[in-house]
Amino acid sequence: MSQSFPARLWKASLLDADTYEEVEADPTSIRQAALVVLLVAGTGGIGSWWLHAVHRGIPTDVALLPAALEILEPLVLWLGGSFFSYTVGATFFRGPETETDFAEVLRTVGFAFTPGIVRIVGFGLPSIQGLLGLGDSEIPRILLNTVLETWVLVAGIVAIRQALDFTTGRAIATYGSAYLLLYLVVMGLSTALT
Amino acid sequence: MSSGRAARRIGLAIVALGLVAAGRDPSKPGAYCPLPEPGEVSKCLADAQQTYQGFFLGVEDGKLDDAAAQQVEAAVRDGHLDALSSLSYGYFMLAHAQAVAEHPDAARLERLERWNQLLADAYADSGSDPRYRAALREAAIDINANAPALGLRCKNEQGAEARCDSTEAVVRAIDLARQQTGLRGALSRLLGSLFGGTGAEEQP
Repeated sequence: MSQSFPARLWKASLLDADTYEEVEADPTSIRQAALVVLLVAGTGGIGSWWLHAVHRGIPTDVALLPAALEILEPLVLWLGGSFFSYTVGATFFRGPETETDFAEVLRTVGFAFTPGIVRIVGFGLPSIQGLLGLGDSEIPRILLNTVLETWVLVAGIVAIRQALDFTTGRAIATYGSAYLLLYLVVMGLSTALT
Repeated sequence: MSSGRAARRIGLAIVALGLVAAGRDPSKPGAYCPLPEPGEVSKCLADAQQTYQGFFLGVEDGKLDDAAAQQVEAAVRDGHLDALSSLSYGYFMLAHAQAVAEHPDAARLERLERWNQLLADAYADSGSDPRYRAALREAAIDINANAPALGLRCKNEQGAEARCDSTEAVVRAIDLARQQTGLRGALSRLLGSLFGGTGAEEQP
């Protein structure tokens, strides 16, 4: 029996491989995966806007860039990262049991973004600290964001491993290669457009 | 894989990282020399004490002169690990002296604030030397964990004055460097190319 959406979110954030297998086998879960990424993008954008434009009082045109980045980054990582993970993982690093398609990778990688939803708390931390009279240290926000980004990274490796049915080592190599390729494409685009 | 197994794996990874950290030889030449326990003297600082004799004497006597401090500061800027270890030790000693002083010493506070900025700048400039960058991170964490917080000031990302306990300046520099590199930095440059003006360097 398949799990509910909240249960999937919870288990995916706990790096539960069975949940990623379930998502991989359920074509209808693509909508849920997309919703997870949109939630991360939306909460990131709102959080960044709050931190820069409201809490720090930075002019709107300057606060727009980090907010746009928070929205854009998960979407680009999801679509681009999944595409390159699929192309690299299903060819160079494929294992004896690798049998997948792009949609499967999209579904599992989408759920790997689940811990990123909590990032909105990080953006709100400086305001919360101010309300509680705990000073304006940026360290709690930076630490929380670093932990969450690392968490999403590890979940991404688990998602790729389950989608491509191979070893953790191959999943790490696939993730690293896909990230590098995506980085080169975006860098190439920005250089070409400059 | 069940969540229990996942948790065990994360636990094993943390233990493995701990073992790696514990297995490092802090006295290895050419490595950052961690701050000593109170009342102890780090053996790994012996060579640095010879090189920066005036600095160590000044720090321990509470009479650090500008020339001795500038020698170490310049060497930290140039990426010398022994100077970084010396500065870290000096920071630790001055911060403790400040914390127990009956009257705050403005010159000492100013020096510590300058060292915060020096560490942040050294981190920002160390992109081509991952070993020195890692040592700066280690020094920042070491100072943060061992030196008392004094409510120092430093510059935030907007260049404005902000409260800056201990090595917050370095942690902010680390975060800024992270924002400006990798996919996020590339996306920021792409947005700058598309819409003009704003790029990774201008992020708030």
